[in-house]
Amino acid sequence: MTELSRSFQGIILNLQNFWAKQGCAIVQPYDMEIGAGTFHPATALRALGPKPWRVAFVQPCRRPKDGRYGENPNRTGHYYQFQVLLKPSPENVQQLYLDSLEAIGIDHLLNDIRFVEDDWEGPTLGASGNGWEVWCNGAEVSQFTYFQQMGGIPCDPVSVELTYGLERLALVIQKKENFFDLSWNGVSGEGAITYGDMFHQNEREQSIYNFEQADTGVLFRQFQEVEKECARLLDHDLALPAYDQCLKASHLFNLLDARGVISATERPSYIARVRELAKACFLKDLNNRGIE
Amino acid sequence: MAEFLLEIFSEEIPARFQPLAQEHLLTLAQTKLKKLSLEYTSIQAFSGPRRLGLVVRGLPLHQPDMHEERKGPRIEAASQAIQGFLASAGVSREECTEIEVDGKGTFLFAKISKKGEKTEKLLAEMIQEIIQEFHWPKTMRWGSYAMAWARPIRGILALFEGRALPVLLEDPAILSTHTTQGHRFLSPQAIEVKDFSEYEKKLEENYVIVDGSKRQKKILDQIHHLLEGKDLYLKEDPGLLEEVTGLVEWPRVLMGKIEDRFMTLPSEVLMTSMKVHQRYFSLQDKKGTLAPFFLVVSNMETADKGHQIVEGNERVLRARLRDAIFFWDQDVKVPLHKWNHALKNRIFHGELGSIQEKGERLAGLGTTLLLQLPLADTDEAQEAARLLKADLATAMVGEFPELQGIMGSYYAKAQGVKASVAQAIRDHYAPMGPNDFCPTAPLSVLMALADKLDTLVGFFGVGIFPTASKDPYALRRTALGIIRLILENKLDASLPDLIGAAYAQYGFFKREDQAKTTTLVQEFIQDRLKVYFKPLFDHDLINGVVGEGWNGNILKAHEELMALRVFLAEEEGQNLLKAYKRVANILKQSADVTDGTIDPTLFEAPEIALYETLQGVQKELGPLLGSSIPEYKKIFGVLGRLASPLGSFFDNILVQAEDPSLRLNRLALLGLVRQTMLKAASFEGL
Repeated sequence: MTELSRSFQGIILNLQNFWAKQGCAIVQPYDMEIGAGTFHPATALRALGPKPWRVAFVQPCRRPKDGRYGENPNRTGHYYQFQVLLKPSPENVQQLYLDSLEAIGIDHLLNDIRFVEDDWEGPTLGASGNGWEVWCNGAEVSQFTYFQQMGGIPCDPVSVELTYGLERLALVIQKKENFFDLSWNGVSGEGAITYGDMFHQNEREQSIYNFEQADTGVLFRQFQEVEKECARLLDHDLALPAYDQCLKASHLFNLLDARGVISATERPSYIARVRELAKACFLKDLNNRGIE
Repeated sequence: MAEFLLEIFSEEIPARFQPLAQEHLLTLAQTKLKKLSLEYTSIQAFSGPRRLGLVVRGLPLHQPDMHEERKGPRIEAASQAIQGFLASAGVSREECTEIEVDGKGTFLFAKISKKGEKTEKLLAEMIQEIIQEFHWPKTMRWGSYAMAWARPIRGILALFEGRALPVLLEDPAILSTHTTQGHRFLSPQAIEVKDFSEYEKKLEENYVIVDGSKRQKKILDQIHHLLEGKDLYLKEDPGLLEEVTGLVEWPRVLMGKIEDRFMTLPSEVLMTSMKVHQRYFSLQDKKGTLAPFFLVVSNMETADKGHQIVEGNERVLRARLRDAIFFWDQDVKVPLHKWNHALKNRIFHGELGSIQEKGERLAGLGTTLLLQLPLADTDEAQEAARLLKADLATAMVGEFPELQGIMGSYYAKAQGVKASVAQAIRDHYAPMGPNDFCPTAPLSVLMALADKLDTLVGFFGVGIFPTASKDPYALRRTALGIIRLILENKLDASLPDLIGAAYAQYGFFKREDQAKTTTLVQEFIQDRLKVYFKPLFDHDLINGVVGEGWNGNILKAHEELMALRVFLAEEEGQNLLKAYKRVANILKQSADVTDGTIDPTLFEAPEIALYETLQGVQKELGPLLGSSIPEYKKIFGVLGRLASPLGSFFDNILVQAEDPSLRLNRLALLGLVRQTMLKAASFEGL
């Protein structure tokens, strides 16, 4: 393994190569603020319906509440996931996953890799699945999920979703303890670019926005607007633009939640409102694709 | 005689499912083999992360032939009934015999003979059935298949008499084989086996220990080996041990170091972080102080002797503990009482308001309870009540909910809050169950009691009661907590008063509902009290003392039960009880009703003796019964004196005398005996 292949970008390149060879379409990140790769239409919408589907992509994720002003070594409000969706789930998917770890430099004969029960739920998507978190020497490096439901609709066939926490994996591979110390480009000396160079200032400023500056009045208004817009677009049978509005609603909810202006009692009802939008989009999209 | 071996090979089954699944497989197989009349010499199930299996030894090659004489309907029964019987028995009407059954009529009897089938065939069917009927706590589907299992099944090994037993699952199509696989990484190739002992042996050679209890023993052996000769001792944790046993096929225990800079964290934080996030065991020294090491049970044997694994785990733990220090530093800066603001947003229960409101109620309730139970001074009680729940808003408890109370107590101490208050914050959730620690520090007892009363009365007040199968708010445990707090601290308190005080704190509860709620709560606690007493006292005693009309003083009930048990173990006690029953019977059966007036001039000698003793007894009992927790030992001593005059009364006096004035007078005397005894103890119902 070279410095380059151990770098943050090297890991991404190797994962893309590996999954491209498995017949995955390598798509690009979705161009909206989303909390997890699962929200990407190439995952969420395509997990439903009978047609086989294989994609892989990097997704920048935003979770405003996890922001720590860049002061916590391994929790950030913005981070990367590498996402793979295979439908139907192949027989040898665990082995494929382990081979992909091998491809990015995790030797399974020197490490302790374990599949530890962790069933996943995405309440705003009405989604759930069974699976594991994958541990490498006690570090949780991936989420491995067999989707059972999306938008409350049973997945048939069942897809498997592999979500690599890229920063966590890079810590293991580069033997570092702080996200911001990770080598981004694998260059040492003058041309070295670290994860911190790339994102530390961003974490600081975004945390101030998330926790102090976000105008909650504006956010509440926008939430109502996109909710209405989503419903309106669905009336015009435009599932994909409507789904974009649903994603906006989800992110606005996350921002409001981080600002602490949604009380514990109101929280479930906001989640339910986003879920209703998502469900309607899923049904409309299935319909538009000619699937009952 | 032959052996049957089954292994269902799958992706990693959740550790918590494994013990249940192993037990379930065993019971299912036992039931089915019995139904098939297949006898065996031994049966054993086993489970691990990737295998669930069964071995049955000493099975016959053939099912025994079956002969049965089955009884059918009466010969004159409706033809439908007869046809049904013939069809189910597989015989014709002519093949049946008619037999008269003593006086009940003549019935049809069919002789059924069934040739035993090949065991092999029956076992193959049994596997299919077991897989279809198997019950998991939670299942999933995979691929395009219809089957639901805990995790995807990837293979089936089935052997009978050393040969593969063909079983074909349909959806997914999996054909059973005589091969399995070794450890996922250390020996992933296919392994052929012909029986269980070879299966177990070959798997062990390929880095898999099949049997859970052997894996567990191996873990403990390795731990003891690692700690040998060091001043380090395992902090035992059976739940964690069971869990890690279900996470490995080839346990290798490794020891890692906790850096000194983290050892300043409260030991509960270190242990919780290690256990919850990492499934590590904690170690302590001889004195019980947490040691700066941890144990991780890995599933690997590596060329570098686990060096990289330990390094990796230490790195992860450092990151975790750095988080914990970050939380501590953040939390400790904020005076505890300031968190109460955040608790306004935290719901205790939708209908019962926020945690902050609960804190206010507890301040009020704590103060009222002091009137009955002088356990603390008012200021102390109010300060404690308002700080009890503050830590729920801290970052550390947000991360580790199981540290509620504990963190509050640490932060309180660090901020110079009074020691008794800090202690009460830590203690007030206890006791959580029958074996949990029960607080004894006075302020802790007061707060623990107030917290539980508020919860119980609140939920009952809005109509939320536990049912036989569901108790989501652990109200049974809450009631048990109240009982234990009262008994273990000898608190002289009456439930109606306690409940009333808690009820009064709920500003929005209606006054007119108070009596109803009080009764419901008291009856609920009364039921739990009977359950609590069940292993300690006779059923009749409990029902007598904590029966209908019980006054709600838990401590008094307990004292009375203990004294009664001693008293009734003696002859005098038994005699007095017999006499009481006789008195009560006579009074119950008598047609006459006295107004209670006693005319001593009508007495004969034995009556005079009884009456005089009774008066003496009453006089002595007066002050004894005056205290709310009477000294029952003395009381029974006094009551015992009634036994002999009662005996002589019954021997010499005819209660049902001809003369109505004598009769009424004697009934009145017995009425007084009954009344006096009942006032002292619960003889009725014994």
